[in-house]
Amino acid sequence: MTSSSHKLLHVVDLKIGIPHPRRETLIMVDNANFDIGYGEMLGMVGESGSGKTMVCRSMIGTLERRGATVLEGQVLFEDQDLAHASESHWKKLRGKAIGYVPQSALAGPNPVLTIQAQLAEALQKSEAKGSIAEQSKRLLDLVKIRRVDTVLKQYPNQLSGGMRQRVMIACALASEPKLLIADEPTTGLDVTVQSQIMELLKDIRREFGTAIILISHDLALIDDVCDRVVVMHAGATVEVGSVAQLAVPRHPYTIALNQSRIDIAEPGSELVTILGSAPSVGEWPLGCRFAARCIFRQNDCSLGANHPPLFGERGSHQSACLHTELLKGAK
Amino acid sequence: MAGVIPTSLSSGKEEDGANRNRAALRRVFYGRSLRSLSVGFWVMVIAFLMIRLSPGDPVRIALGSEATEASVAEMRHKLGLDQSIFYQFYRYFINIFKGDLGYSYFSNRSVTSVVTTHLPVTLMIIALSIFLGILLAIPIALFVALSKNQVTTYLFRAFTSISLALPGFFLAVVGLYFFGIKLRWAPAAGYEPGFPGNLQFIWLPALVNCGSLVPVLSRVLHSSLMDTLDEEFVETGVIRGVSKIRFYWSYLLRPSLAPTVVLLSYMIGVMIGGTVIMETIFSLPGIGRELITAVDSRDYPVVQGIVMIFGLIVVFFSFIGDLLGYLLDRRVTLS
Ligand SMILES: Nc1ncnc2c1ncn2[C@@H]1O[C@H](COP(=O)(O)OP(=O)(O)OP(=O)(O)O)[C@@H](O)[C@H]1O
Ligand SMILES: [Mg+2]
Repeated sequence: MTSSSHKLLHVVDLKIGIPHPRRETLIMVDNANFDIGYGEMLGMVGESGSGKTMVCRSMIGTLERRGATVLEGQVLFEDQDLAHASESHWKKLRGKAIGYVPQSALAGPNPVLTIQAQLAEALQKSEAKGSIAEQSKRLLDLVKIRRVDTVLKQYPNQLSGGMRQRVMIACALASEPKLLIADEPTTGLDVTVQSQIMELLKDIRREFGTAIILISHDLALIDDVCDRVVVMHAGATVEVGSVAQLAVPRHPYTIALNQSRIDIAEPGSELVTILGSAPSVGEWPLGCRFAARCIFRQNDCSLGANHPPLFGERGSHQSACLHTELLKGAK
Repeated sequence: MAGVIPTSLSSGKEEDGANRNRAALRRVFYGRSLRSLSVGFWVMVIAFLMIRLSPGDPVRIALGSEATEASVAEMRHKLGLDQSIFYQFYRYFINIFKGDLGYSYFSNRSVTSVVTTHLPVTLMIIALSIFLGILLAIPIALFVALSKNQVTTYLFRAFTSISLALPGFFLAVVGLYFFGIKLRWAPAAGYEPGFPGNLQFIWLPALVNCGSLVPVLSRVLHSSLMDTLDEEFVETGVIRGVSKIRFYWSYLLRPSLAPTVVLLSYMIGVMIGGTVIMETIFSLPGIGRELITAVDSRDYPVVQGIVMIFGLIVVFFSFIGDLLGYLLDRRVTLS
């Protein structure tokens, strides 16, 4: 990957683990590969524990505090390699070009600080004009919070989940980031609030051209709002492509995910759940990590030492399945 | 949590959030004050009954074994002890409202003056214990919580367990021997009122109190800190790049302190009990020693007065602790 590319962010062969002085390094992400273009909305799906949050932490410099580190690969953000940035480098980078809305809306804001204080912190590095107070109000307006003056003086526990999430989004937008990472922004919120938050993200992208990584377990939601999708399984990217391309999946895991979708299941038919559970961190098998759960499994699937790489040209519809020819017709 | 809080944006309920909070706070304040008074009352009733039900007669103790029946009866009448226990209680109770806790049977001091001269000594010891306890517990807990080395945590657990297992009086005796006799850093006995002159007499007892206070506080704080470190909002603090001091205070300590503060306020009750022993060993003129003397001689008014004051102090500080916990961290609910 060189400066000739015109994408905003490249994640290349990323491998993340927690080194241990005596035991073997615990690998949590291996073979993560995807790009995101300027102003693009990228959905990231995968079961719990597939490493979605870990991948995002490598973009915001918070792996270290969990004892984790990038072992291999690159995270190129506008040609800076974030994967190997030093802590002093991160001090300058963090909270500027990449905004982050953490996984849980309810626990996102600091419980002991007023909304005002938190916005002021987020605005520290802002270069926009206007006082902190003016900018805070503008941000809350932006995320469609009403009665701004009251909300500014309140503590997070006085706000509903949806409001807290709006505040978190406002904080993430404070530095006018080029990329916004929203880690499961709607979990724990009720359905109407969920759709309000999604509308908000769409508006933000339309208005500011902000690229957004949207992590979610909800495939329907991702189909709805995203341009492209990256599917993660056991720390690896198993399929990546546009929403339209993924309607004709090229990886059995994606097929399984599609079949377990509630929204497109035929009425009366039984919901298909995915066979077994994803292998836990530290217990990954050789070869394809999905093989044990795969109904298309062939003898050679578990042979190689490594997980299959993504086949196909980068940027096109890619899959990490060795036997895509078997999947024709499956949905 | 989410279920309790209105989720709709347009509802006017959030508008009065601040007002509602203030009203709740006021309700809690009155409720607690009432509760403090009623606890004080029951502590007084129990103290009144217990001292009378326990064997031993103040009059015979005062007059000695040689006293004649006549003089015993006379003194009993003078003290009002010949009256029914209900009448005695009634009179005691009424007098409290007049600000009169009665007089010691043996010296001519009023109970009020016993309390006002000796309680400050005890409170000073406790205040210094708390100050030292916090001063030691916070850095220890922070250091252990932030250290990535398992050995640190292991040593911390071991040392705190050992320290907790050692009885306070044992630490006191060892401390007295070591600092008082060997090193001569602390006077072995005596007291001199007035701050800061009194510090040289009470620093050692306060340090001994810390022998149990610091392990308890640092353990609780450590476990809260570990929980906080796992919280999502700490990540936000890192990303926002807030200053170090602000990060430590607003993102680590303050969200973790409430349980420790509440516990500390309860520990005050425990320490008040403990100072009885501490004051005896260090020969300090605190209220605990007065209580022992009074119990020994069945000095009813003094015992009742001191026990009731203890009860009020405990209730008062537990209230302050809860309130402080709430002010530090709004997730704490006051009931
Ligand atoms: N500090 C840690 N020590 C050991 N394992 C960890 C640690 N943090 C995360 N993991 C493991 O790393 C894996 C990836 O975690 P991650 O949080 O990225 O998953 P996720 O895809 O975001 O899941 P979810 O949908 O539940 O948020 C998980 O299996 C998790 O158990
Ligand atoms: Mg996650």
